[in-house]
Amino acid sequence: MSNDDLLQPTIATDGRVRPKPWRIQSQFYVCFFGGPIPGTLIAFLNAKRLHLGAGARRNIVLAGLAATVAFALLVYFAPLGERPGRTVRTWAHLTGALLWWLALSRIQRPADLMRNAAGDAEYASLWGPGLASSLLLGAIQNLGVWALTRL
Amino acid sequence: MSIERAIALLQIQRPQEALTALTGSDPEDWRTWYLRAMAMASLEQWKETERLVRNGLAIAPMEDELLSLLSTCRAEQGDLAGAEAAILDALRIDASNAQHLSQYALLVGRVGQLDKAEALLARASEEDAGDGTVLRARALLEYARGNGKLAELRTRELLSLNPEDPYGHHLTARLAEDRGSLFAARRHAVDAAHLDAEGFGGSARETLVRTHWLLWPLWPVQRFGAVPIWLFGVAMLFLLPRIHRPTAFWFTWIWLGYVIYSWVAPPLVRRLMR
Repeated sequence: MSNDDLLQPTIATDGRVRPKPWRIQSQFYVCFFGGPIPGTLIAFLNAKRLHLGAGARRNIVLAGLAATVAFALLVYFAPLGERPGRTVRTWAHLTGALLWWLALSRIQRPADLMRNAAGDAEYASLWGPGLASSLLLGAIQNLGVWALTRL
Repeated sequence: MSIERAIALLQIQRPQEALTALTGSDPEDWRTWYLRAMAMASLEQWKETERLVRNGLAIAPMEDELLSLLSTCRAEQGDLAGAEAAILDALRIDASNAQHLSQYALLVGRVGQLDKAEALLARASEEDAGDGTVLRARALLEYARGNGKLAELRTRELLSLNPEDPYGHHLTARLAEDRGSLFAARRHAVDAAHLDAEGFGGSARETLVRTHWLLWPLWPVQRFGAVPIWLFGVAMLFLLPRIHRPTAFWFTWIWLGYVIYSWVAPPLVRRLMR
């Protein structure tokens, strides 16, 4: 009875206590202002902080990839207009926001709610990492996608 | 004698007095350490709790209640793998304990292993379907999964078994708020706070702020989430000028007003309620 699968340990032991996670709501701003790639990176790192398993992390990466492809397709096929930089950013905002709404928030929410219900409601600040990733990685992402479509 | 007194004091949430009652009690009795640890746990002194639990385990290494408390302690300090090891030790001693099974289920739920949590809770229900801990955990799991309807069913079961369960009222309030029933949310939040002011006073106050009549205009944001409403606004600001300019003009101003109201009103109401 006590040797069955259900009573085997499944929480990874890497011998260290993880830092506090970031708020899911705050990650929206990274997804919106940065776009799909910075948003995916932050969600991926947060999945580790939430102790999420390999399956959830894989889903985050897959969703991020899908959103990035959608972003590239929009930049490639939709007219760029008179101000191409602004159009590229608009598509990054749109795909990033949808990525958060449809995938990233949903993947992280159950664990986040269970953590809250256990009385653990403290979060780390996303200001530094969020701004850094959305500005730096966001710029690289937008330039990269734009350059890709010029080939 | 002091043991019984300490148990009674802990039940009415007087941990300091319980500790005083335990000062002269037998250090060779594991219950002395267990009750001291329980008092420290309700004071949220986790390091000290763990020390006391270890003293108890040195006397009675096979006492599963001590192991269960050790698990809580480690989880509170962020060591989830250590918490898992402790609760599994407790389950190795008593594999049919519904409360230990629920505790383990909530722990794996915290790391997103919801299927395993559900299987553990199914087993806990087989052992003791009417246990409050099991019903609370099942309701919470459905809530975390986003199954509002099932979560409501479970909380109703919980409250029909024990109408004075503060957690049941707290969860009912959350579920009511999520589906937009503001009055029900207020009523149950107040009930939860009356039954356990320390545990649910803060969250009840927050519910009363969020459901204050001055914030009723923000109902769609609460009901559907800020992001969908915001996407709707951006889409309208983008589309309307291409369809009908005068409407777009009015929409822009109304939207701007709404956005400012959504920023200004909640802190204002919070100040009003103080």
